[in-house]
Amino acid sequence: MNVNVQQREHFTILQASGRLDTDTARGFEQHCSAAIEEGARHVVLDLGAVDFVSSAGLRAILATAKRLRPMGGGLAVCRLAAGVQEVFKISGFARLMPVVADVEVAFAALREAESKLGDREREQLVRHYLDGGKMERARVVARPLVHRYTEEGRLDAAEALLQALGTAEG
Amino acid sequence: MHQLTMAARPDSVGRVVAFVAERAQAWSLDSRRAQRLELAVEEAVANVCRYAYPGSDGEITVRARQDSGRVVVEVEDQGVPFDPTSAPPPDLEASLEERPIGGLGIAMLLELMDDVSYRREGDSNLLTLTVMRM
Repeated sequence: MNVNVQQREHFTILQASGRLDTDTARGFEQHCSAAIEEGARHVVLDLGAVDFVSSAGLRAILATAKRLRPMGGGLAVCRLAAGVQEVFKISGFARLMPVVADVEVAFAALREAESKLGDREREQLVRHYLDGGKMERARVVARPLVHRYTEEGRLDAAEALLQALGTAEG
Repeated sequence: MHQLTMAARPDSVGRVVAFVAERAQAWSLDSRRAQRLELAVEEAVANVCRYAYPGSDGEITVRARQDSGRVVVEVEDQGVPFDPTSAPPPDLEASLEERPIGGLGIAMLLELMDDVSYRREGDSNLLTLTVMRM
């Protein structure tokens, strides 16, 4: 099991290869954790070069998805070989996370998920980008929150967020 | 009949699966069915290696045989009695938040094989996995 990490825009692509099974699942999960600790939130797991996934591998993938969710992030899986696709289907995992054809479709699925984030997760994500100095992303993610706060008359909250974002208008 | 006995430890799983994969290839099982068999064996063997001998050491034996219509793998251990064919199925409809980590391997094994049977003989659990050639 090898995992190659690539960054594209705000997406992190984890390109795995080999087998994702009892022997390798723990190491794989550590790669995923390391990526999250380095700031990955929108993760595309490219399984194009993975020929075998067992329940141990699925558990590692699920653990990663569960970790990302409350952070306002997400996980999408793509480029599954036929046998791996079957595993995702019979395990019900294909309903738990986007399982799509390629990296571009995975980006679209993660953008879609981001558009539906709850307030708490969105706040977490904004804070993450602020802490990392990624102001442009922080502003994009925060925009619906500013609108919500303003609509609800929570002007102090809206003002505080705008100040944090370093901008006078929403 | 081909047979392999190993210590029932998680680091034995890969070796046992490789043994079955070699048999499947030697017996010309098509790749899709061979992969299903490998996966079912991994799940069965991982389960034994993790749970069959709580707090003690034990062994796992895997036997493989074929005939014109099928490949059959038998997994034997002398651990706590456990019948995977009557294990309660996990809730595959549960959402991401509700889904417990684990509990999946047995359900996958049952789904992937053409036949799965279990019997307890003396102190042994005997799990038989059958995959048809066609």
